Amino acid sequence: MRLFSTFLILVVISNCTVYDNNSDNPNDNKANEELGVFPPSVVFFPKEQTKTISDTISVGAYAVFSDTSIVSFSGAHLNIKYDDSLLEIDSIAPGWIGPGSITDSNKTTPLFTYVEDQGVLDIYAYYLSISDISIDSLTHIAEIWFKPKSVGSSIVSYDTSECQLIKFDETIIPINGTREASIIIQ
Amino acid sequence: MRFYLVLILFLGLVQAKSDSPSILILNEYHGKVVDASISNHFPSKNFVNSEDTSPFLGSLDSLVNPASGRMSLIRELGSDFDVDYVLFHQIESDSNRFMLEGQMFNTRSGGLIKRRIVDVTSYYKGQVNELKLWVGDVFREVNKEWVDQRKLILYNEPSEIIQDKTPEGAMARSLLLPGWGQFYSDAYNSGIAISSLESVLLTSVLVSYLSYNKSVKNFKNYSKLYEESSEQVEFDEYRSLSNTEWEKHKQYNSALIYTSIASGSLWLVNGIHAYIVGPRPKKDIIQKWNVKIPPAN
Repeated sequence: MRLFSTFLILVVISNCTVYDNNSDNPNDNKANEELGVFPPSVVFFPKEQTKTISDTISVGAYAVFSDTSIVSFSGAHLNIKYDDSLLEIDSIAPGWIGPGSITDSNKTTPLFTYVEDQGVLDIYAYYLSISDISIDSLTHIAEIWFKPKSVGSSIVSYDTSECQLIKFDETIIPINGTREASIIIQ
Repeated sequence: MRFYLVLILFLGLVQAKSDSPSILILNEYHGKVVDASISNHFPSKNFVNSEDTSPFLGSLDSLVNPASGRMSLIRELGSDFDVDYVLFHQIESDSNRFMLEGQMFNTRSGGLIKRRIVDVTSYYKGQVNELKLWVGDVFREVNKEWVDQRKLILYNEPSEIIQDKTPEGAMARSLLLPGWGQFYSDAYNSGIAISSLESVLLTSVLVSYLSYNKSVKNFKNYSKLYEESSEQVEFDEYRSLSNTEWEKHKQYNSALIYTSIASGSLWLVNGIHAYIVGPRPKKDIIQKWNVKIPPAN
């Protein structure tokens, strides 16, 4: 019985934890709005990750639009900055998820190219179609794989002054917000 | 000359032996007294038995002068039986106790020279032992074994008393298992109340704990699904579910803490209560007994 009471006390002490409710997904409009990031925005997913020096780090680049309106999206130019003393580009692939993804409509391969230069990555992705692409909330533009070079922490971010989201009529969609990604290499 | 001195001493001893007092024994027993033959225990005394106890059955205390109230009767008995003393014994008993009254009279004067009333709890061969103690006291021939036998019914020194049940024992039991100490102390109502209440509280703790764990598990699961979602519809759904489970886990956590505090407090109070109601030596150790005094003649 003493063991039982000891167990009871330990159970109570060890289970008094109240967890933090940090429902924060960079692709969620509501979570972004709570942080003051309003659509259309460009974000990374996941927002933070911790890896070892031998791991490969995958970061998704997304464009988030309002879920209450439809945008005739046509393409994007993303200017991404990272610490090239810690990270180097391993590979880059066009995005693939969700309805309205630039690889989704009629399975047409987009025009997809990129330029990498001393910690700055420029990605150009254009949907080549005679009809417009309707985006209702989210599109995955690219997936980037980094390779760690040394131990440390790096921020992967967008330079919004260089980024562009293009409509079907080739007008520019203004970017209202951006979210960066944090990478810790142990 | 020396021979005559030894002869005189020898004759004196023989004379002293033949001068042993003779005693008339009158016994009035209520019920059977096992092995009540006093003469076996005092072989040096010259006992004479008689069965007619009726003149002695009246209360001695009702007489104007108890010491001399039966002088003529005693002298007459002394003359009739040619004895030096008359010993009258009366024993009354019930299932638990007995009372012995002993009276010793001198037939020469007819007066009461010694009296004893013993009112004690019954013990093994107690009536015979009390008779022996009484007669032994009269003739100053008390055997130590008789005294030791009586000590069986006497209470020990308080410091030597080892209690079978103690308040500390009750408290220890209740601290091990709520209510046990109360049952141990024959406090059944409080035992039932405390054990029932503690059971309810412990069940609440267990239910809160299981519910808390379930909510935490669901919260983590929905949070993971939310993190992995790619559609706003899924974001909304899993975020809502995750928030609901998070609120639940907070409520169950509070319930767990409060019921645990209540349960632990009751556990401690139950231990203290068991000590308070724990068995203790009785202060009133004298049993009342309605002594029947025989009516006066």
